[in-house]
Amino acid sequence: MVKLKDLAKENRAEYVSVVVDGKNVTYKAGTLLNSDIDAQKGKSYSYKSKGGQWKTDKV
Amino acid sequence: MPVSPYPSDGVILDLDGSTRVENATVIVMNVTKHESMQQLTNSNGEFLIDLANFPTDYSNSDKIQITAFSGSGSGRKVLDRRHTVDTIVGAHSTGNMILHPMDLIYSNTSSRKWILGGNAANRTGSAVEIHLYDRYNDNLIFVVKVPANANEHISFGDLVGVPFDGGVCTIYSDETTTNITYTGDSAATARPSVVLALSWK
Repeated sequence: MVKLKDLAKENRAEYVSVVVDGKNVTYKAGTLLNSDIDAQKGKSYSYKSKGGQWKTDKV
Repeated sequence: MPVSPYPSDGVILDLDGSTRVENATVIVMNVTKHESMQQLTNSNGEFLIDLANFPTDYSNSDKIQITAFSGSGSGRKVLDRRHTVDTIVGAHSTGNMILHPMDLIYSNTSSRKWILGGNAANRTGSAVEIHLYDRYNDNLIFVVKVPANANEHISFGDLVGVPFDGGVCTIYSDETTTNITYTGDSAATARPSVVLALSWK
């Protein structure tokens, strides 16, 4: 398990999003929003840096 | 998997522009598709609603409207200005909003069938305008100007008749009465509450 906020740090991303129960759960860097959500190893996640496009990767 | 994320986020602030408001209700509505989602702000006054989580996701150029309020029941509520976002797939929107004081009353008793009414206390140093919109089609219904540091009583709807269903309504403001013809669409009759967004500008 990796916290969304750690994925954001790793990718220098402003937003990191994972799908939980069919819904996007999105963390925004520098906020408390979904900062305690875990992303599962091997699962896909999306991230976006300031001014950038959304990209996807695997945890 | 939902379409590309579209976070719409911000911070709800009190009228002083700096105090963050916890547990404010933020409603994000896709005006184009008549869908809405809501969320309470966290302990930091923050909210984030992903437009991809609408029942039918979102599409390019969907018009998104954001409103917020705090308080509950028939007593004190505070509402905020709204802001509108025109979506582009894969983008995001960030906007902080400031709550303004508003003693808002919803009433649906046998003698008074207001849709919306209340006392607007403008504590700012300049005049503000209250804009009332139909949340379902984004039509501007009326504008009331509230002078600086003044109180204004406003009621909207039919005080003694049937619930407002799209027709002539009455605004009571500063003891004057103005008849406004609301040109709502025919579907308004199927929306008995005709949920409205009140905003300050």
